[in-house]
Amino acid sequence: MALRILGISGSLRRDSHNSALLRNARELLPPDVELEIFDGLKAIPPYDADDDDAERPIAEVAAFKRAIDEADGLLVATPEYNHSIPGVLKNAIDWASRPVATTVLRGKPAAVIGASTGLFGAVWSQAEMRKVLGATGAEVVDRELPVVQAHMQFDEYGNLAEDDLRDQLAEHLGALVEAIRAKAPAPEKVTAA
Amino acid sequence: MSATTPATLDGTWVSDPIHSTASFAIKHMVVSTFRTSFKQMDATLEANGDDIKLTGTVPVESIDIELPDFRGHVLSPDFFDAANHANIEFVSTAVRRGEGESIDVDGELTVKGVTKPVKAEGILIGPAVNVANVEVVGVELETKVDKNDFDLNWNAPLPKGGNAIGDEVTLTVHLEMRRKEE
Repeated sequence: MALRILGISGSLRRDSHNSALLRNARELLPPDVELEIFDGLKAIPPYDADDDDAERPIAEVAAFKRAIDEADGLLVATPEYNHSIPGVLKNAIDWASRPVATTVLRGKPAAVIGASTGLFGAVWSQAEMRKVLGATGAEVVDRELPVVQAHMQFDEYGNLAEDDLRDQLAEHLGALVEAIRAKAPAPEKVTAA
Repeated sequence: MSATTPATLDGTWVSDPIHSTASFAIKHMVVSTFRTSFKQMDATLEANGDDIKLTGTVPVESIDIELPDFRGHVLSPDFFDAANHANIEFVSTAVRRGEGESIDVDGELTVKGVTKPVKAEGILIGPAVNVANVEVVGVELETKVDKNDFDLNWNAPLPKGGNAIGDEVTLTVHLEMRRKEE
């Protein structure tokens, strides 16, 4: 059965390097692994526990949780703002992490990549993202993929220009796919009586 | 002058901005090397027999980094503090010609208002007459400095070990110099 990975770009910008990185990842996955890129991050409202009510779910939040739940693994591409992850990305993860007992993130294999136009390839925000995902119970692949000087890494079609970087991304994705395959098939969900 | 005239270094020589560069290289992410240069530099060489003096000025704003955020950080007080220290300056204290074209240069380098002694090695070629029948002298020098000695203290630990950037910076100048017009 085909595996499904949900790609989440922490950058909302139309020409985002991190979104481009996810599109490149899609081409580098094995043929039996699909990558869907989530495009609803901007529509997720600021987290407010008063609005976090199972009886009155917010459609945009529910869509994000469902997309995570239906995926076998997550691939998060994050830019770096002030050495950390963008607020919108943290906010979305905060929503998905609730309620703690039944969060869709628990046990979910996840890998993090990141691109920045500077010299460090969002290496600190990737670490932050791994920390945050780990706190939610996700099973985070402990490796980083810093894409430095991102504005110089893509050709006019948005493809990674350097074979080396493409190989590194493929290796990174291989580790995520391995983590997903290593997990036993999820047991049938038991609904409380 | 004709190409057969015995060439002498005596006199004053100034750098040709088109054919001169001042560049630096520094390790980042532990293993990678970042290199860039400054687009402007004024250097002067004065020679009177064995007495040679080399001076140079580089405006830090001429650094060849275009991206606004990257450029803004490098010119901020974390690094060059361009608003308060416009230029990098070099003044030689001793220039020794060695075997062949080799030279050793002692001097004082000022970066961010901090002056430290440095020793550079390289070559001095010429004078020679180029295809445009102009006398030229070539100078290439390299030295290594610790950026922290000049109050460029920014760094950050990487999540998987090591520091964001190295401490050692390799400074290189390539000068093509022509006789100063009187």
